[in-house]
Amino acid sequence: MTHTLHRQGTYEELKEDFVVLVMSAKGFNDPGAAPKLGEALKIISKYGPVNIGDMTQGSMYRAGFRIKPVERLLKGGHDRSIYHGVFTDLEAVKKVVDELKAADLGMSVVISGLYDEVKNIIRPHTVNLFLGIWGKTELLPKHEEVLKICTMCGHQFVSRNLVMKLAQDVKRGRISPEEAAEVMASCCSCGIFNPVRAVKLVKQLVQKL
Amino acid sequence: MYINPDRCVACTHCVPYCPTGAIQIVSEGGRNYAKVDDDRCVECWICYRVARCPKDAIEPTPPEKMPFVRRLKFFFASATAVWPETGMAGRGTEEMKTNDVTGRFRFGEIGFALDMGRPTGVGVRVSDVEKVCKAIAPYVTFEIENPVTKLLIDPKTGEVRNPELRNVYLLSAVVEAKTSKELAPKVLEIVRDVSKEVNTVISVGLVSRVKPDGEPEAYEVLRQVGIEAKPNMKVNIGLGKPFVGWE
Repeated sequence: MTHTLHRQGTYEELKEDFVVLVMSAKGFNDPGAAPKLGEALKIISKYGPVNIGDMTQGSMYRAGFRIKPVERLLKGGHDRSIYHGVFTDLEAVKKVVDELKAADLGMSVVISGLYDEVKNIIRPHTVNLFLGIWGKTELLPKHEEVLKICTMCGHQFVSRNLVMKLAQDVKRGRISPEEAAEVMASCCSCGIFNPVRAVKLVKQLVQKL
Repeated sequence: MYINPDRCVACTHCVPYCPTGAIQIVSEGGRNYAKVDDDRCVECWICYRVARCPKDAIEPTPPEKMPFVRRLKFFFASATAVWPETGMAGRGTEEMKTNDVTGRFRFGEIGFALDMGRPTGVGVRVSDVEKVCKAIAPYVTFEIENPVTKLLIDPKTGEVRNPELRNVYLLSAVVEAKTSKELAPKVLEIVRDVSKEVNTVISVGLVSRVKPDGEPEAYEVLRQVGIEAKPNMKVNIGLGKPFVGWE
């Protein structure tokens, strides 16, 4: 389950893309974890995430979750929920981490993002490093913006063909970049897609079409 | 996945949503309709779940009624479905995300997370998963809770358990294994070599504990083989309890 690891982008672009994940450990501390995970989601939600979700329920862009998403995610939450929040600045992540630390919930917390930035705000315990994409890379999309957008959903539910189609629609004036990003975000089932970053990338992609 | 030709009006709405490009518009008997390529379809259900056909022509088969190969595709594509065979959800395990509690990875150990077929819907045949697993098997211990290990390969040899599955096309498969810090450079070199022989892409990840000075232990391995890590990582920040400790 390495779905937040493979995000592509320049260092500057990744400065606007951090994912905070909270979960219990199966067989260790999952019994009775639901209220602690719920508390963590409330903390995440306080600091302006651009997307939230539970890997087992869906994201705030899921149909039916757009109104009062936090309440709905909390209602459906359980001991094995895996809550995510996506942030566009490290300062917000720092506030989330500080509050999670103070709350002492005992749940595992993982931050996906630039290591040099993250290690400046809290001591790292274990890391998952990304060494890049190996193998037949000629099978990847031609435009780097498509790759950057698609890898914001590690489960590969944002299709490269859909990204190109939506970019064409933006170019023709049928939809706005924001609307395109929202459709893309609705494909990502766990809420780790960054729609704010996607808007910028769609605008860049449109320039190339 | 099945698209009912009697309902489909070939509006093409669903076509771009498919991550693997498995939906095509075909002409038959004087009319056009959308058809799913069974080989290319990975049962991710994005067409059904998100595209939302205006004519309700997309008709998924519930997983419990699927033949085994299609169920295999479904569970390797789903982010959340719980495998009946293993009781686990998702394509991989908790790996390092709960390592502050489980202690699955210790100092002196390096974990491998080889995401085959990712990103962008490239997908992977089981034969290519087998190629990688066979190559690294002598030097690693495969993660026993991982679906690839549980369902596809023999963890001792890396060979596929059922040869009839070799040609099955999956959205992705995460090979999870670990080895000692001393053997890790050799494993990385093997993965680098075998990645040139597979007809897919591999998103390569390493798991490592972090030394008190903030340096991931895996950097020692990477220096030996001349490979640099990307600047973004997944970072477990050690808030879980009962805590395994910093050492």
